[in-house]
Amino acid sequence: MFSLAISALAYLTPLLLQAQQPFLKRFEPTLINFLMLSFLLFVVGVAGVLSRRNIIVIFMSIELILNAVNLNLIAFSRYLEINKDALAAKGLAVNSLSGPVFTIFIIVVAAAEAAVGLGIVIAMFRNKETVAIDEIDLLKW
Amino acid sequence: MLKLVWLIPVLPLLGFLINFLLGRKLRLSERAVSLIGCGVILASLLLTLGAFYEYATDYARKHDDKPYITSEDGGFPHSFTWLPGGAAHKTHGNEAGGLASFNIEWSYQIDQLTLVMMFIVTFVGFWIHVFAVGYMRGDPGFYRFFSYLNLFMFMMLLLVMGSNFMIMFVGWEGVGLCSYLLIGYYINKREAGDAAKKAFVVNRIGDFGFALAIMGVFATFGTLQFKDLASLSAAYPVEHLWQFGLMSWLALGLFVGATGKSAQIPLYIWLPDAMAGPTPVSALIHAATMVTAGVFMVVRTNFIFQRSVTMMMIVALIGLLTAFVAATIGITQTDIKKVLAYSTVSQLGFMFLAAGVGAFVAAIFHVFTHAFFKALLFLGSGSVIHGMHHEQEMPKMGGLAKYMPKTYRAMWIGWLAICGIPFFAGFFSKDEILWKTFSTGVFGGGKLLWFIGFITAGITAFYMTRLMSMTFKGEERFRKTHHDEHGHHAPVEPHESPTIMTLPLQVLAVGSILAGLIGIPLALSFGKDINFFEHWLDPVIVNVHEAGAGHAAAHHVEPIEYALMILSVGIAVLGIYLGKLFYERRTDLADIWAAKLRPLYTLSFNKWYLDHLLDEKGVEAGKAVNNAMWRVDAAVVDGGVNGAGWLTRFWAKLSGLWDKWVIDLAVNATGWIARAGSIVLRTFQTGFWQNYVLVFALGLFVILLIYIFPSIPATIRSFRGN
Amino acid sequence: MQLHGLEALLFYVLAIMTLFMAVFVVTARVTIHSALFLIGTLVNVALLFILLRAEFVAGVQILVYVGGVMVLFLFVIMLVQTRAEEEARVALYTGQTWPAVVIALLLAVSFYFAMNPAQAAFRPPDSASAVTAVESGERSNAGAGYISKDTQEVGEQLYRQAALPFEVASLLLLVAMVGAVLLARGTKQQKYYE
Repeated sequence: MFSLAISALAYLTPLLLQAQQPFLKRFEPTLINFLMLSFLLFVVGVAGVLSRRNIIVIFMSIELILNAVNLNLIAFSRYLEINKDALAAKGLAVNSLSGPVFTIFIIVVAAAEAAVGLGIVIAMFRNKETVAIDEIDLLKW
Repeated sequence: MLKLVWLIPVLPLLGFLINFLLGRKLRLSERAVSLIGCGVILASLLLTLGAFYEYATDYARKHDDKPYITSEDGGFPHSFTWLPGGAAHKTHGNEAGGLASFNIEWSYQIDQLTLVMMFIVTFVGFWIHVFAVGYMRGDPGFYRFFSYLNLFMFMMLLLVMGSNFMIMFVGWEGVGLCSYLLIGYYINKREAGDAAKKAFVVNRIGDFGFALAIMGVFATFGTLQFKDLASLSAAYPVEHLWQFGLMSWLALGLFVGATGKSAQIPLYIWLPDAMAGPTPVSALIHAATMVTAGVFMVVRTNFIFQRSVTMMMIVALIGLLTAFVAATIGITQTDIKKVLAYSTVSQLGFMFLAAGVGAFVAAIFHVFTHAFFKALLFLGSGSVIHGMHHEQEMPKMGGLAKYMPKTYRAMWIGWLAICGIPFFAGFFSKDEILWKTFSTGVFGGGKLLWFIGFITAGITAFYMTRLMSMTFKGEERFRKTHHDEHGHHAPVEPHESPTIMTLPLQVLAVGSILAGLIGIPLALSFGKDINFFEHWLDPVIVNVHEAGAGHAAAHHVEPIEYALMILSVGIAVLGIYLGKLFYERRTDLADIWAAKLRPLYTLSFNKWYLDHLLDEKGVEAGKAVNNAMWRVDAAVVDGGVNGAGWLTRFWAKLSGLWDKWVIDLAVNATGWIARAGSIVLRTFQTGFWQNYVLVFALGLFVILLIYIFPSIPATIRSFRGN
Repeated sequence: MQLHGLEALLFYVLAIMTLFMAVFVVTARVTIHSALFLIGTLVNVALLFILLRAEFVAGVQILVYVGGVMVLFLFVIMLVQTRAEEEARVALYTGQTWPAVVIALLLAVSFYFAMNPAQAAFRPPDSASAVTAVESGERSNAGAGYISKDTQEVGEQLYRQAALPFEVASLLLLVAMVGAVLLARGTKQQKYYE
């Protein structure tokens, strides 16, 4: 039943879209839509970092922020790739592959950061029996 | 094979690294260590021969005898930028103030001179390595010894092959280091350590001069590349006798370096002491290769030396003086290796004499032949010492020819070669030097120099005969002397050394016979021009003194040359005869003549008191100066210090009062103000880091706001409009 | 760059799912749920990468993040005690939650304002959009199911242009590994190892 619905949808959608071409054209996602998704993800991550008490969730929020950045980079890389010729005509030689490369480095750094950060969490939990961030205020004068 | 020359120094380095780093860790057997140690040298030797073949048959012809520099083949490993020093100003010379780039390239230069030296180093070095396998058998530091030897070969090849002064300097210091390490190889022998230190310190003095000269060369020419220097130096006029200009100063610095490394007066005192090292080391470093580096350097930089007649004369005089003094000292020494050491110093003096009179080719020719027969003699002495169970005193030997026939035969050839008997290697080179000295056109007085050199050649024959006779002929003294010195009564039974030690001797003996044949002078070749050596090295030598010995005399034979030749053969035979007479037939004569010439004998026996002068008088003088300084210190400086102390105390009291009532008040007030102020600021420091992040996010917002502010109205309008 | 047809639809579906899951990550009471939602978010982002023809990065994202980092997270959650939070005995949020939300919203608005003026510029004019279907380049507009040369190109880029950072990253990972082991081992283990 469900698969039937999906296949019907898959069959019908292009037709529908074809019919509504001029109106739907406005909503076809471009670079800017990816960027908006990216910053919304970023903002959600920031809100998590700022508001949660649980340090593990804060870490996860940081991962969200990093993912937002990754999405951003990949979107721009794609954009540059497609407009390479146009940009070259304007005298701008671009390397559209820096985006993926940077992304991979960010993932690596994120992995390293998660390993060390979670190590710290465990060490802290062993000493203070808590993962709540506002109970750890050694920095206070 | 020219493409592979970069491998030639790298291979010994590889051997060094393997033996030095892994020798102990893997407990490499002596067989493995010696295979690695000798193998890399053999590979270098083969590569050298290959490079020689390609250069001689192909490259030199195509490139008009120009040197091959590895940077022609581009990047690593042929060459690479080693010291990217950037731009610098020249401060001396014709272009003072001009810009030069101090980018030192690591590259090798292959030309006729380099190839000759590379051949000497790798060929003689290889056979000495082989000899050392036998000589050092059973030594606990076997791997260490071979790794040092390989390191030495690496450094020596750098010295020889470097295409600029800096690489040469690296090699120069490197061989100094290896010399230090190998002289002090027997780490539990006190005198070995002292000798090593002495060699190192004395070499430092020379190296200081060399380093200054390198700086001077750069400040003058703006480059350190030999190839460029040779052409650049042509722009400077020749400084005549008694003139001492820029070129003379540069040459002086270089020559100071050469005296240190090549053991010339006044810096020769380290070489006889250096005999404390193992004998293969003495043969390799202190006879065949390292000590000739000074001569090599003078010849390599002949374009600078030839610009200064004064310095040429100084080089010749120092060389001659060294040759003479060392030869006279050699007569009375009793340690077999010491005699050879003084003989080496003396022969090096001959080489400098040759360089000084403008016969650079003859100097290198003598380096070439000397490397063979002196290495042979040293290795022979090593074989004797080995056979005598580490006895080095000649009065405790005698009659060994019966026990060590192979060693004796080989050394016999070396002896004839060094004495200058015709058709052995030494004859050609020494005679060439004497003839070039006699006929020199660089400065006057060549005939006087020749006479002293001639006498020295006679003395050389005498003391070498003395060495041979005392060691191999006459009474067998080792039996009676040995057991009343040490408590044990086991008589020393000399024995012939194993094949691995006698084979190098035989090879070098053949070399000592044949090496001279490549440089037969015109006078002896019945009009045929077969002096290959001179033609080979000709492109390396800058032609400044047109009227000099080299070229004017090279193309026609003067009758006087034959006369001189006969004379020098005569004095060699006379020296040999006297040596045989004194030390074989009438052994009492030696003591009688020593008594008759007592003052001269003591002078020679005490090495002309030069060591004494430097070691004792020099140190005494230093102490006296120090004492005087101390007195000045006690009277003047201490008084001043005490007075200053009193003044300081008085001032301190004043300052203390000021401090207490003014400064402290101010400091305390600051503290109070800070504490009062902090009540407000403290509240911000919550220790709760999410607060800080909040402020951080706020800051981000503010930055964004500044960025988007201008476009806000337009955006809002666009909402309204659409 | 413009996605057409099904791809456009897919983008919106994925975008909405990503955002919702992200919000759930931040708001979930049970830490395990947070982690699971984060996995969902990461997978969605990986799908978006594929939509952007960056298959290799998408693969890395799944392998490293979902396969590696998230397992690490799950282990840590297992090791620490979060029962009190789950049973609503303690507060979930800090005292500064409302200022935080406000600032986050302000950031969102300002980001939007920063991008909005550029929106028109990125959208190709209608006449041009007709041509986009035949844009040149292998990667440019191939249909779904097409495997681009992305992986190969990224690989070449990594080993040619970014070889040094690549090595540095490996060093960083090593250091992080050692650091994590050092931090996480207990006093009992410490005694055992020393």
